Amino acid sequence: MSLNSKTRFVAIVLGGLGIALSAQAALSSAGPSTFEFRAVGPAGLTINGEGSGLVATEAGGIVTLVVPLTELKTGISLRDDHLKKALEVTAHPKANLAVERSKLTFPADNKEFDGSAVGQLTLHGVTKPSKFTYKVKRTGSDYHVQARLEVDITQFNMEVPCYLGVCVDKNVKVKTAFKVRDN
Amino acid sequence: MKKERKSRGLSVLLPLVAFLFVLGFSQNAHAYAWMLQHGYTACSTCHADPSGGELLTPYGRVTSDLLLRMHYGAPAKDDPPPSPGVFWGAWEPPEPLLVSGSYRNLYVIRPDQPGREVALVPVMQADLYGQLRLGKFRLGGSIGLSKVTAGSPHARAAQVTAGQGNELNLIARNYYAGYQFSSEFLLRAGRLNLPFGVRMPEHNVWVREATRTDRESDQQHGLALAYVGEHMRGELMGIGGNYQFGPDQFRERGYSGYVEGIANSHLAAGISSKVTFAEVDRLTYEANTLRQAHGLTLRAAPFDNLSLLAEVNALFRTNADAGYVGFAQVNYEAIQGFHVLLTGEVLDQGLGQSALVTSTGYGEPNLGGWLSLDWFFFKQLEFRTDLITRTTDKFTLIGQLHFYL
Repeated sequence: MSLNSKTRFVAIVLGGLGIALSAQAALSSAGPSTFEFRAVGPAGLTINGEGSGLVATEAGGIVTLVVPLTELKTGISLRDDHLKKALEVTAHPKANLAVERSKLTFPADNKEFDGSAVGQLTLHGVTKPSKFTYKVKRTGSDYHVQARLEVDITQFNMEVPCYLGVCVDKNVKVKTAFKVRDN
Repeated sequence: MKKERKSRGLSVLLPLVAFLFVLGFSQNAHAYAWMLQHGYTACSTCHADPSGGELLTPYGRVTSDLLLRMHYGAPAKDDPPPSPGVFWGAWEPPEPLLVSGSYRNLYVIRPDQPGREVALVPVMQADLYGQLRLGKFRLGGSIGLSKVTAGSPHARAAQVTAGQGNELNLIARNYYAGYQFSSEFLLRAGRLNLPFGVRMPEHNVWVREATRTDRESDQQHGLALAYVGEHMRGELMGIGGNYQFGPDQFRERGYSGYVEGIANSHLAAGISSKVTFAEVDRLTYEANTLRQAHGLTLRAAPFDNLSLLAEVNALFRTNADAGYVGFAQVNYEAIQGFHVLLTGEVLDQGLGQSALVTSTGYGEPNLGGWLSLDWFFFKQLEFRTDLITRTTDKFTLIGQLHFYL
C-alpha cells in the first residue's frame, strides 16, 4: 500500500467514524427555558400566560419539544383552572412538537439562522402538522433557540374558551426560548 | 408682549418635548398601568363604556373581585368562583341586562379655611347604572342624586331637576343609544363621558378640570364612535353641547377624542385632542371662546405592583395665552387591594385678556401634590383618603367610603 493509499484509507476510516459519531450525536436541553402564550379576546382583551419545564430531546433523528401543561399560569388562578379544563390536562398533561432533525438548519459556530419548518404538534390528544418559525444561534456545541408558532385550538378538538360572555380567539400564539446541546 | 408670548409658547412646548423624550426611553420598560399587568390593556372587557368607567360587565365584576380587592388568607381549593351578580352576588341579572350602582360619601378637612375646617358630605355620589343589549343595539344610562353647595362647579351640569342652592337634585350623567357594529366598533349617541386623556376616578385632578373632561358632570350630548383592538383603542366624539342646562349660548360644541397605542401588556401611550366653542363660557363668562386641549398620555408599569399614569396637555383659548396642564401618578400596590399613590400635577391655564378670569392658575404655574391611600377592603367596598397640597390650597385631607353594586 502506497503512502497515498494509506492516507486515503485513514481518511475514509476517520470520515466514516465521523459520520457514525454524528449519527449518534443527539440534542438535549441544556439550561433554563421559557414558554409563553398569548390569547386575545374581544375589546382588547389579552391573556398572557407562561409555563415551565420545557424539555428538548432527540431520538431516531426526531427532535421533540415537550411542555407540561399542568402548571400553566395566566396570573389569575380561576382563569388557570378554566385553561386546564379546556386543555383537559388530566387526560392530556403534555403538549409536544416533533420535528425531523434533517428539516432544521444548524448554523456554524457563532452564526445565526432564521427560518421556519413544519413539525407534528400534539395537543389535547390530537396530532397535526404545524408550521413554526425559529431563530437559532450556535456557540460551540450549544444552540440558543427562539421559536414561535400559532395554534388554532379548534383544530385540536378544543372548544374556544368563554367565560361570562367573553370568548378568546381560536388562534393562540406561542413563544419559547431554550438552549440545547449537541452531545 | 410678543416676546412674552413666545416664551410662554416655549413653556408649553418644553414639557411636551420632555414627555416625548421620556416616552422614547420607555419602550424597553417592563411597564403596565394598573390593570395592564393582568393583560387588560383596554377597558371594555370589564366596563360597558368602551373607554372605561362606571357600569361593570359580569366579567368585570368577577375580575374586580379576583384582582382588585384585598383577600384575607389563602383561598381554599374548593372555594366557589366569585359570583358575577349584583348586590354582592345576590342577584344575577339576565345576560343582556347590566345593572350597577355607586355610592360615595365624603369628608373634607381644611384647617386653613375658617368656618369650613371640617365637612361631611353624607352623599357625594348615589348613582344607579344600567344597560340593555338588544342584539347589536344598546340602551344605557345612569340616574342619581346630588346635593352641592350654591355656586359649586360640580353636579350642576348633570342636573335633571332645577333645584337651586343646596337643594337635592336628580342627575343623569350618562344616557345613550348605541349600535355595536363589531366587537371592535361601537357607535353611541346621547350624553356621554368625553373621550380624552387618562380616564381616572379623581375628577378634581387638574387635568380633568382644566380640560373639562371629568366623569363627575362634564359629560356632553353628542355622537361617539369607539374602537377597541388588540394594539390600539380610541374614541372620537362630536360634541353637540350639554342640553341639561341653558341657554344655548353656554353650550360648548366641537369634538373630543383620543387614540392610544398598546405596545404590549405593559405599556400604552396615546394622544388626545379636544376643541370646543361656546358663545359664553359657562364657568368664566368669557365671550366667543374657542377652547382647545391637545396632549399625550402614558400608562405603564415598570414592576408587577407599580404602575405609572401620566398626561400632559397644551391648553389654548381665545384671547388668552397658551397654557398647560399635566399630572403624573405612581401607584404602588403594597399588597393586593391596598394602594399607595403619589400624584404630582401642574397647571397654568394661560392669562386671558378678560378681567373676568383672574384667579390663580391663570398666567402662572400652579403645583399640586397628592398622597393617597386606596384600600379595596372587601368585595365592592373601597375606602380612600387623599392628602392634597396645592399652590392655591395648602392642606386638604379628604376621605371617602365607596361601594358599588
